[in-house]
Amino acid sequence: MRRGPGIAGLQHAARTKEQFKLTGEEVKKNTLQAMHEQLAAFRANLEEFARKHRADIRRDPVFRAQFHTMCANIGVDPLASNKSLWASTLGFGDYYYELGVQVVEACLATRSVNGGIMDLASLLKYVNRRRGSQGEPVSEDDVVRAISKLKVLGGGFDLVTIGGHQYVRSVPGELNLDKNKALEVAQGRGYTSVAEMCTAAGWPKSRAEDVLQALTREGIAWVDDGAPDGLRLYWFPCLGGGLDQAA
Amino acid sequence: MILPAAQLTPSGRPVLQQGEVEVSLLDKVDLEFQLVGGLAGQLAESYKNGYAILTNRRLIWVDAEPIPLVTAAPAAGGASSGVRAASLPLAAVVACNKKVQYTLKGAKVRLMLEVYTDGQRQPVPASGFHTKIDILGIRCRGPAPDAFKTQMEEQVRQAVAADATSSSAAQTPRAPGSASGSGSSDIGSASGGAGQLGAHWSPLRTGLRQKSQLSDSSLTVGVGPGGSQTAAALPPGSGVVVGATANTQSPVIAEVRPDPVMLQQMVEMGFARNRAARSLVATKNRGAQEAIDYLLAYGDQPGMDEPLDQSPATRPAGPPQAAAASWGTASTQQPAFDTASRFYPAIFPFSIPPPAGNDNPYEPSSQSPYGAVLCSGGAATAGAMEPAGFGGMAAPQPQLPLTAKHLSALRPLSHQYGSAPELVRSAAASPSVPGSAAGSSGSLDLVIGPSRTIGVAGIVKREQQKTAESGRAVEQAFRDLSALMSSAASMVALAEKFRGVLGVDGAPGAAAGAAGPGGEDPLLMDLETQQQLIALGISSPVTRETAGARYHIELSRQLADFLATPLQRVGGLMSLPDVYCLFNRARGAELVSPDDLLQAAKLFARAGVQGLRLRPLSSGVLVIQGPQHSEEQVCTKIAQLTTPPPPSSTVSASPAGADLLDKPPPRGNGPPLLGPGLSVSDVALALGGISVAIATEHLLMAEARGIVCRDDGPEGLRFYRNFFRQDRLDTAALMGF
Repeated sequence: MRRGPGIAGLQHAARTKEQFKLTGEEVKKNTLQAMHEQLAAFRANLEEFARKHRADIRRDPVFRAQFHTMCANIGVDPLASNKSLWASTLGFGDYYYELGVQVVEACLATRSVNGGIMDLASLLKYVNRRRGSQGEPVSEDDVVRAISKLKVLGGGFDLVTIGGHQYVRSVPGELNLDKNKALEVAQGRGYTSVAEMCTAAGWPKSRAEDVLQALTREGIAWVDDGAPDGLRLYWFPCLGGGLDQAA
Repeated sequence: MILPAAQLTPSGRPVLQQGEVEVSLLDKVDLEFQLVGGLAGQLAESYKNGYAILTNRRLIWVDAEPIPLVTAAPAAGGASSGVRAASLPLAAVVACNKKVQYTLKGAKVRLMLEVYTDGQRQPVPASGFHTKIDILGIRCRGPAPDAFKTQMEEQVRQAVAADATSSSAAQTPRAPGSASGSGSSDIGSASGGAGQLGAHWSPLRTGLRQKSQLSDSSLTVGVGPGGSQTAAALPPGSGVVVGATANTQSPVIAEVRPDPVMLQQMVEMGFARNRAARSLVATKNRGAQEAIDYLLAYGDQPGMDEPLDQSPATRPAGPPQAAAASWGTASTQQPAFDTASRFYPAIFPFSIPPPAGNDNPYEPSSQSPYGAVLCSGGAATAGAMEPAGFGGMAAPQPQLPLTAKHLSALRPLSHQYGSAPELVRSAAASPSVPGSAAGSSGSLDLVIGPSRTIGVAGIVKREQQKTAESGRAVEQAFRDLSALMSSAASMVALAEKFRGVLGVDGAPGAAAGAAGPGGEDPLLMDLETQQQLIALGISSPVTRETAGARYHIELSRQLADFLATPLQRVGGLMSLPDVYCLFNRARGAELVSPDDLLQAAKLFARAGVQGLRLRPLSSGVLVIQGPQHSEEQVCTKIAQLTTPPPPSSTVSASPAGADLLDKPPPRGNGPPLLGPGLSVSDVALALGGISVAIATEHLLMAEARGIVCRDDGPEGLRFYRNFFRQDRLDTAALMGF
């Protein structure tokens, strides 16, 4: 672009630069859009292949390594098999082991938020999203069976029932009765406070404080000091029930 | 035979190269050499009591000591403390025979491998220079080696084929060295040696490699040895188009005419002139003997007797597709390759046709498809190279008018030669180059007129073409499984490109509230976890097929190697379900069942793994603990924490280890100091931020060993040093209470 003399030249140059920048951004946006679409197509194809040609992929080690690299880069889960009749009745096959891996991964990924306790409904949702669109959705019963197959790996991973709801606990450590009670009380709204504990459970103030602080230390409860009346609230991310309904 | 050493990981598994995958394992194997052999420095008549691992590139023999000796400083290489590991490249194996010797004590089963070796008795691949064939015996004391032998033969076949391809491609950059090194007086072999090309040589690959070479090194260095040698070796009538290449430092030399001396030799031997000429051209004048071999092998092909010069006119457009297909599949079809030799002039990055004298047989039409591709590959650097390189160019670039036909011939290539976007970019980038290199070189037009290929519109069009190409590549690759297998490498590169571009953009894109395709974040895991998963991926997982009888031991070793990094990240302790998840994710679809994992974890000690142990905690949880959490270390740390600070300066710092338990603490003027009391959270902090539950475990374990005693009081549970044992208590004084 040629710069003419004088102010008109400067203005012209500035305008041209502006135009070029806009065009560049337009091109970049289009390219990115196309890339997103290709990525979606890639992912769909990979999932389909992982499902249909599982045995063939496993047979050839060099291709298997390449396939897994592709899946890891795109974010596709290569563990994809459908439940067969025998698997559900007799417990054979890889399906439940794969599901076990996916369940533990779900707990690992959310551990920093909920402290190691995850309620079954959100676990189910996570696992279904991770498995991709091609497979059949996983049911609660499947998850329960998969967890039971993990029992041989020692304690620390099991289902607990608190106040009628089921949670998956993935960190070792006991939930004593007091903590259970605290979670029960908080189940309705997802949070609680010391005062509420005292009234609901009939405990002295020190005991309620002890329990809530212990839960905070373990990462299961989060402290909220921003309530309007200055009361310290304790939130429980693992009790996803209330929040889901709100959303 | 001297075998190169194989590297071992700290736990004793072989370190695999990039792209190397384990295939099988044979237990209880001895290596027997002719005379003496083995690792350099550890020659012996035989290496006994090991196991052999077959990968797709090598055969690795490892010593199977029951427990390797514990050294004070564990060495990084595997050869520490007498665990020998020798490797044999499969490309050097000629044949494998099974020999059974029946004796009174039973049958001795051996696999005899014939291996190419050179003067130093080291194995060389089949395509290299070897002097003799050495024999390596594998005595199998364990399971029958028949399946192993079949698999080894299959892998040897593939390795030799792969080696032939790579050696032909690798030899072109090595050419200047070999040309100057060989110093052969034979003209043909000198120019042939400088241009050692196998049957799978591809001008595209060469052109693209030249692109990178030219941008790296300076012209003058390469021109010196390569140019002078080959220029000196040029007889005037040989028609070797070396002169032009020497100016560009190109190590690739194209022979389009048979060497007259060799041709004469063959004719005198009684072969027909045309046949001899063709076979010389096909073997690139490497030598009369090889031309004769070629002639005998392919003498029955139709068209062998036609004179050399007239062929291009009769074979215009058909061969490009055929040649493309044959190059794509890397087949050894010589006639198709012969066709390819017609296109040698096109290999030069600047697509210079041969000097005018040799111009006749080469019509532009037969030349252009590859000319376009290579012009583009090289022309992309023309802009960069121009100031330095063009001075040497003898002939200017011709105008090569391309038609849509040739562009369509271009298409099948793009899928086979690596990442499609890269190729099209280079093809599409060429129109921009003439804009910059307008002065000295001609311009190269693609299909459309010049007005639509330069400037902003050109850029836009190029971007569109790029994305269209990659979309097409994806579509074609996923047509069926075999297509995916053949284009797997390019798909992997494409996938990594996606991750690189979209992973970085995904976060700001999502943060900007882009509704995006689908409206949800496709990457469910955060980027860091995903990158860790990719980095930790195990490309060659141990399975029952690959490990056979040693499955659990090899699995535990692989687990130990894998766990080194994640354990460090979480502070040295990981519960078994977490280990199960991470290990299986790294292995991809080759799952290991929970029972196998448990078995493997229990075998850490037997497999010779240093530092990792499976530990059952009192609450029933099984954890794998790293070296910094061993019981001794933890007890030492806790003892240190509970000793009272020394009252006077004469007392030395607290000694470590068992002394603390029995030695009385420093006495002040009064009764001995009790020292600080530890609560669980103190210990958790002091031991490096581990969880409270684990800290409780450690304290209870220390209490069981008698290092600390507990005090259960109104303030909670605290632990003090075990003064019951350490102090000399006055029983009489105690009784007074």
